[in-house]
Amino acid sequence: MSSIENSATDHHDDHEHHGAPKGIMRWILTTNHKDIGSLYLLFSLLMFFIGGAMAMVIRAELFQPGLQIVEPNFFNQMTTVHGLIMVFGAVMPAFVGLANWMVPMMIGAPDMALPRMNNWSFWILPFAFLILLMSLFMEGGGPAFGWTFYAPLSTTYSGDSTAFFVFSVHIMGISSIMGAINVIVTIFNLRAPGMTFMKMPLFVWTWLITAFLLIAVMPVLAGAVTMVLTDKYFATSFFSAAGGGDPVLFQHIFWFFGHPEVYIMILPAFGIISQIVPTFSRKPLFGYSSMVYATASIAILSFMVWAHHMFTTGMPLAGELFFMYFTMLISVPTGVKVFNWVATMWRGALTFEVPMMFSIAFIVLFTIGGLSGLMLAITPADFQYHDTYFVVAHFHYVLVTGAIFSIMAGAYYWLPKWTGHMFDEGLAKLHFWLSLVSVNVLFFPMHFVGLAGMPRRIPDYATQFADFNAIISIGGFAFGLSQLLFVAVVYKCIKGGEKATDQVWEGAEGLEWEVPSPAPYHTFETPPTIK
Amino acid sequence: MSAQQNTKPDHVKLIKKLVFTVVFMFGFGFALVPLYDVFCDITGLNGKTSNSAASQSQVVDVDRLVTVEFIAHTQGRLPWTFEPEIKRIKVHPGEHHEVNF
Amino acid sequence: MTAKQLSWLVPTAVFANSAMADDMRLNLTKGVTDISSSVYDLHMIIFYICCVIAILVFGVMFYSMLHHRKSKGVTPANFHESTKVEIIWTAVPFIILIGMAFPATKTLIEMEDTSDADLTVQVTGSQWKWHYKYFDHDLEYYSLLATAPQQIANEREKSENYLLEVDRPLVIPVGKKVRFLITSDDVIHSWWVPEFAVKKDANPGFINESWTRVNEPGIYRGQCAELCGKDHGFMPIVVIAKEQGDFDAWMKQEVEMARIAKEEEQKLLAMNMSYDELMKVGEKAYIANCAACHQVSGEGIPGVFPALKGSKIAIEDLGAHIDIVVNGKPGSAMQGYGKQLGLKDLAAIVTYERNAWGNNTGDAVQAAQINAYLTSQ
Repeated sequence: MSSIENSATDHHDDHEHHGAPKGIMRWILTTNHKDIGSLYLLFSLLMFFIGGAMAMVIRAELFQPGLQIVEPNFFNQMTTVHGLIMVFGAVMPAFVGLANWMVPMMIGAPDMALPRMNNWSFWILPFAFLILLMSLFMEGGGPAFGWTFYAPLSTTYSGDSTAFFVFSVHIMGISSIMGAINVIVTIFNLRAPGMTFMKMPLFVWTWLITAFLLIAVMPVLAGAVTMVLTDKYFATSFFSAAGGGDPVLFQHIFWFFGHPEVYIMILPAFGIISQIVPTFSRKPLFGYSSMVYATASIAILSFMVWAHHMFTTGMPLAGELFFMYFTMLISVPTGVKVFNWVATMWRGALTFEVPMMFSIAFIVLFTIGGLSGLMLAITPADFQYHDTYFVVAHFHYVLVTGAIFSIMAGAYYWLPKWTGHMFDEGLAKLHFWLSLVSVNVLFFPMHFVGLAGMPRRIPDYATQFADFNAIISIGGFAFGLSQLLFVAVVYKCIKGGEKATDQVWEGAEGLEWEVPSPAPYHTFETPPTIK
Repeated sequence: MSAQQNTKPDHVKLIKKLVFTVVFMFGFGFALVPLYDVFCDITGLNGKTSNSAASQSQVVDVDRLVTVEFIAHTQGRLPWTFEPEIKRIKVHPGEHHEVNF
Repeated sequence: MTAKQLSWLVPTAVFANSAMADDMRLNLTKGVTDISSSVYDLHMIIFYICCVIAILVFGVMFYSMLHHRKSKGVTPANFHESTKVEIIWTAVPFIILIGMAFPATKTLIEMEDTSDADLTVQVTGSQWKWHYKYFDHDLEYYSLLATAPQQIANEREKSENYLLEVDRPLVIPVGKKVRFLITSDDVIHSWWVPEFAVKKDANPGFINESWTRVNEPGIYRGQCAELCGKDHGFMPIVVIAKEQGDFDAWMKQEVEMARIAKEEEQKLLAMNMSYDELMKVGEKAYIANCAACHQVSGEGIPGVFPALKGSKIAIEDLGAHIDIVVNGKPGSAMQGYGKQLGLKDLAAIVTYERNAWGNNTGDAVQAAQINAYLTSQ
């Protein structure tokens, strides 16, 4: 505790009015929210490509029936580490990066409330993923039990690398918790005078609620991995029936974390879309307060639906019914959000710049993912869908065309503010269209193979699934390669380009558009007054 | 700067609350283990029955017939066999029967 | 967007491999039971509801995208709330959901009613095979993947039911309520036959119940649906549904064959098999039962599955070797094969492991030795 207090106290003393220092030490020692935001974003981009490379290995193996490229044990490591990296390394850090950059600027704060902890919460992250990735090169390979690490596959029957997996997840968890504490303290205490809660931009609101979710569930994940660790190495039997435990208990604990985690990965996305759609509709967001209430009710409901991931575990009828009803209920506030975005666009004056294109694609494709989620909520039907490619299609629609597309939209939206340059619009549009087409070639047919009966997490499949899998793989390679264009756009934009105005986008409103572009190293050292 | 100077004590208070929540939730994760047992005990789910003998009613209810099935399973790696001698039995609630494994 | 995608996808898929196009299914199966057909109906209802919602929402949005563009010179409106509209679009989905919950609840209650079964089968999963035990008949057996490893390695053409074929399928009578008691010996597996709409996890140490009543005789195929380790993709399920008369005849024959096999085994105790014969039988049995983990080369997978080549157990103490093959190693993935295999195969496997890959101990282990070990316990 004392070190945290000190960092909060000391901060203002050594807070000098200077520009960015030079050299590598700037990045290692930085306590500046913009630097740390950039670090998070670049790190998540790197992880996106590493996790993507693993997806390419998976799709290459599944291109044809039979085993061609990798053997099953390595295939399982690829699916496991792909999931872990994309969830904890790509999506979550990207949102933390956006929060670091934008939250202080949106609420008129000079920086995050706890800048040194901010530095720590980023810099432990590379080590977590280094440990995870290095474990792939151990004898016996890395974790191969799926990102959900169901016991006893992850305890009695797992390889030697499990200890490293647990250690790595612990570090990721600590990083997320520190980041979440920082966001909450910043939003509670550093709002500019006049910035009341109900005046905060929705991105800030969704992140505030996300941060509370993180604080509530990341410790539960830490508990779950700790129990796996002691079950495997210290002869406890939390999850072993032989010692009086229960393997299904693991799934309850995991999904008690896991379902709110799903919303951790989508609520900030809702926030980003709620910033972008009004800008390019030139019209205020429809139903601001209902958006806030919908976000809060999604967050609360997310604690009451976890067992819908476990309908086939042999739950009693009453449990199945309870979780089915609550899961169906969650589609109401989610629907409200979609309706609000559409109503925002209605009778606006729309233009279709790249951030808006990604946002519209998000609304359509995320809704498809949401509707397949509604189908999955119907328990009797879920018995057929569960653990098939239908589920894979569902969560990739909400996570790739949902979370990732919103991050892309946000990146294109704020890139001119960060760099001071407009990005290459032609290249960005090419990136959008290639991504849009390939992502659907990649994930849409997965619905069909899933319904036709292909289980997930298998390295080889029956011949009737062959045609679709070939198409899916082609879509996968195309989507993976298209993302290189994004790197090109970002690189060109950092290096130079047409000078961006302060407001950047014609319809943009909010404090972040009132500071110069590029945003100076220190902003809002004297708090702005809110109209 | 003075505005932020004033908020410093707030930071500490808020952080303390948040850290407490984190610790509490970490504990809650572990508390789910006994809570799950308690829940299963109360509802009788998942085959968890109490180890004490149930109090017996001496009245035999001849109108009702209950089928009780017995199943035993040992994991393949244990060198013994353990099976019920009879697979199912129809009893009236309240009757006494002995079944051997 | 997606509709465009779809229309593009389907022809590509069909032309990509017209030979396989006949088998291609896009939708959930209707299945062969009353339950599976009501599940199919539920699936279709919710699917159509989703389509209608999607068309309405996206329709409004695309209309707006076409007509409310800045390039058309529109001036944006400034409305940003409407309590009436917001109440409507909260209430309407809610009502739709209630409508949806009724049939779902009804089907679910039927699915969970396992009472009054005509036949009970205990289904036990283990890495990576299924075991079936008939409750009221003296019959139990393992069911293993029957696809040749050469097909998986692309050295031979893939058969019609590639990866969906087993050596001994489960056989059940049609028109009878068959109850499954599902459990596991090691990790969690999941027993899934799409045509029955039965998918239930096999949890170690716990028993789950499920049931089916098949309407048509036929062969129905499924797969393990819960990641269970390396060969999760290679433990299919095949169920043959027969008319009651055929089922009874089959059952009688199987029980008789199991009895004969047991007798043969007793005779075997008195015989000594030659070293060459043991090695020949052993190699075959080793590849079928052991090579998934320890590999054909006997080198295992370092850090996951130990090597047998040059291993202490396989070249030194014979008793310890027999013990681990027969009883397995608790707390590891090594299963006990004493109940899975016959004496002949066990003896042959131990012999093979002690002599293959340069282990050259020269030991020829006989069925009688294994039996002596088993009975001494």
